[in-house]
Amino acid sequence: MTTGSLRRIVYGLAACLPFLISVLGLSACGDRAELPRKGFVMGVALDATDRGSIQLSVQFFKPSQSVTGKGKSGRAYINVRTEDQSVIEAVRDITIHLGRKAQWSHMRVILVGEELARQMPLLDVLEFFYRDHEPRLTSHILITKGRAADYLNVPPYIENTISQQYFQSEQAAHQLSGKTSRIDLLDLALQARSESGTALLPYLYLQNEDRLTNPNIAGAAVLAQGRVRTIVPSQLLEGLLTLRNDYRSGILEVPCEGKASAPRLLQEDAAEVLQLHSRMTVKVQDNRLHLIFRAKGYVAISEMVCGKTLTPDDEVKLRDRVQRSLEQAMSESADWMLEKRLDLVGAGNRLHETNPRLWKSWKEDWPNRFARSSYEVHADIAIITTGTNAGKPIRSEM
Amino acid sequence: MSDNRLSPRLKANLLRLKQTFDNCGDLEIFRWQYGPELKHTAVSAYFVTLIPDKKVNYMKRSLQDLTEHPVGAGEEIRPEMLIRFYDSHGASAETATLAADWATVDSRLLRGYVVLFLEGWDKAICYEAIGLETRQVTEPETEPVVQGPREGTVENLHRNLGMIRMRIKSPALKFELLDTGGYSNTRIAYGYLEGVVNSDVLEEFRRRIGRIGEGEILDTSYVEELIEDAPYSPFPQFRYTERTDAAAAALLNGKIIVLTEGSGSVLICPGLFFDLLQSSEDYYQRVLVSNFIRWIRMIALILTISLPSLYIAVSTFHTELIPTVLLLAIIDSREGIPFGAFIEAAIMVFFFELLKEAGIRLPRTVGAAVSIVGALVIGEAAISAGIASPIMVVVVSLTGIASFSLPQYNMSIAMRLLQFPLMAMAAVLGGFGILLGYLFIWIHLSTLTSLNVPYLKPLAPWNARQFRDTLIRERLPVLIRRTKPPRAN
Repeated sequence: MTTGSLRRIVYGLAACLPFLISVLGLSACGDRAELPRKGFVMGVALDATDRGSIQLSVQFFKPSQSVTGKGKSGRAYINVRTEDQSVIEAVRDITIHLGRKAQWSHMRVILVGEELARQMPLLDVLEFFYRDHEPRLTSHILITKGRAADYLNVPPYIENTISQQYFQSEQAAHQLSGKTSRIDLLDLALQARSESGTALLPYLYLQNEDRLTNPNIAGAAVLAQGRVRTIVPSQLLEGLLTLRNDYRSGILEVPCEGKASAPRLLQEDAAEVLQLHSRMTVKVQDNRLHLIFRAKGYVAISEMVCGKTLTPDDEVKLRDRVQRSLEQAMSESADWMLEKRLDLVGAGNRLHETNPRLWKSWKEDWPNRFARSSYEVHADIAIITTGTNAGKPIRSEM
Repeated sequence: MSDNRLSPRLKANLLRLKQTFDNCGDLEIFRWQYGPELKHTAVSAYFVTLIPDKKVNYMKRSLQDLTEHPVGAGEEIRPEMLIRFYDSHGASAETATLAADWATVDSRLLRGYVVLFLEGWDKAICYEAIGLETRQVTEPETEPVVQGPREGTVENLHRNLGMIRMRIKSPALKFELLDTGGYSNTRIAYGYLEGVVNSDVLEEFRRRIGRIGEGEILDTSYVEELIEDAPYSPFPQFRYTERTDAAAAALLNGKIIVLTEGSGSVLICPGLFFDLLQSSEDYYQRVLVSNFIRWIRMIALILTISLPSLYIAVSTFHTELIPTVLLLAIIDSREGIPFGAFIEAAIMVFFFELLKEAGIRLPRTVGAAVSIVGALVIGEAAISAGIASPIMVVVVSLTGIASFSLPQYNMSIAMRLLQFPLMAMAAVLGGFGILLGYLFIWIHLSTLTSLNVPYLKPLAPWNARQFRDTLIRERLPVLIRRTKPPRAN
């Protein structure tokens, strides 16, 4: 670059300088809304009303009012409630109350009341969150027992807002204890629009004990044909998650032999599941569906009350017991699934992939066909460790 | 007879001398008588401010040259003997040169020579006698190292050249001197290592130095500004150093160094982008350590130029990119601040620059108070008053600290200068604006040249062989290995 041309450029820029400075005063790109002009949504709750409209409760993060930003006093959130014919209109009504535009990109959870989820197709209710550019497809959805708006008023234990707490407990409950499922907007759309057309959503309810209300996330709500149909009891959920290959980690209870009728307190060994994968094979025999589930995993013994691993035979016996208890859980869940005629394992998807012509003919009658199908469960468990060197219960003198 | 030449008559010479140096109170003129019956006259003239007292009597010395016994009053020495002795360049105790015209006499007088005029001779004997006190050789303040030599240049040109010659003891080290003329008549010296320096670069350099013409050069930076490729570019095209070992290393790398009389800065040309990120200490530490520090420096370079603008862009336009917990902390600290992000950032950066400038100007005794006041004002009070948010203070301080870690002062100023346009672009267009800003900077850098050498060499144009010492410093055996001469391009 020669000095002459650079000088021209610099002089040109210097001549533009008064105009450039005045740009700062104009309302243009430089006038974009700053952080304090936006309200950051932490969680949203959707409910049905008697008047046939949708009630929206939005939880906003409230910045602390002290200037240095330290020492929060009071709650760190506010809940704004609006009601209108559609979700987007209710969203716009927020500005009547709050005076700031909602910013959806950091939303943690979407709570949908059970009543609304049973009445209206869930994807229609959540349509706004799919289309708007701000909400992420990784926002999680929970179905609540009762009115979802009440769940936003529960004070959090440690977190800033209860939405953050719900988000984290959902994650922990699914990954560490296997007591609930997890779903985000993308998975919900994929599962609901698949050939099987079912999805499993985590279930949030309040538990009252000692005059305290604690929110729990356990169990799951089943979505079929667009609406929530039923709630899976939490005892059956572990087996169901195993059948779906969605079980991450949790505790497997292994009852002691010969004590089926005795009280179960401290009468069973417990194994911590470290890793569990399962595969489903779909076979069509004699115009009937046959499902084969194979689960393979690694466990560590957490509590040993009646088992022992002193000899190789003992170990094999213990392993068999663990396998049988897992198979039992899987069978109970499979029975429940067949009884309710809900294809929660994606057998329809698999059939559609492998044999589309057959699927086309079976599709209309699929719930009944599924209910008439047979299944077999197999579990293959390896016990990695029993914790300490003691291969028998700590208490025993043997 | 031309006006310039000396006259054989002492009176005419004296008159001319007094006319030229009229009102110069520090010019001393002494008249001496010598020869048989002390009949012959000689005059010595010098500037007493340039010459220390003990070297005054050159007249005696020149008389002493002719006999081996103490000359006493010099009564047996006659002018013809002196004239014949000096005309034939006899070996005198003090080195004497002859001057035959007034231009030489004037310039020599002003350089601290003692000039002797003899009656009946149209030449003058000049003795170099300058003895001004100069600064001691100390460690340069702006380039300290933890380990390594601590020899810095002083204001005396000859001492500097001497220190550099002690480091490169080879006849290939050439120093060329030239006087700039004008009122200051500064002597400029440029040195290079013959056989190592690129001859095209040397030709270009000579051409540009020749273009300077007559002018007053008070410091080496004047030379820089007169010969650089792009005076309006924020990026410096030459490197400065006050360390003799850095100058020697530059010579060994094929650079040309420029020194001027009266200034301790050494100019190293050409100065490429990656050279400006190096410091001597890189070579005095071990490989792993020096590479780690070099990478910290590069990250510091990026931070200096872009941290405030990144903060503005991300917090205003791209809030989705910030993790939620960090975002909530930022919102907490930004609530209640009256200004927008850009104005707040501009104010904080401006305060910081003011503080830096004040810190340079203040005498040492008051400097400590200023730093306390600065920390209090910018840090605590601004936050408590609600003018600035804590996160903005963190961003600005981190930027300032990063700019101090760059070894070359002119580079760190350039980076701080480029903060402002980038902040403006970030405020107007967000991340896209930063992208555009970077694009403009890169385009400018890739077309910039220093003495017609591409500025981003060896990155652009790509030359893999030259990568020994840019992003990563290779082991010393690799560095000091003789390589093939650079490709002609």
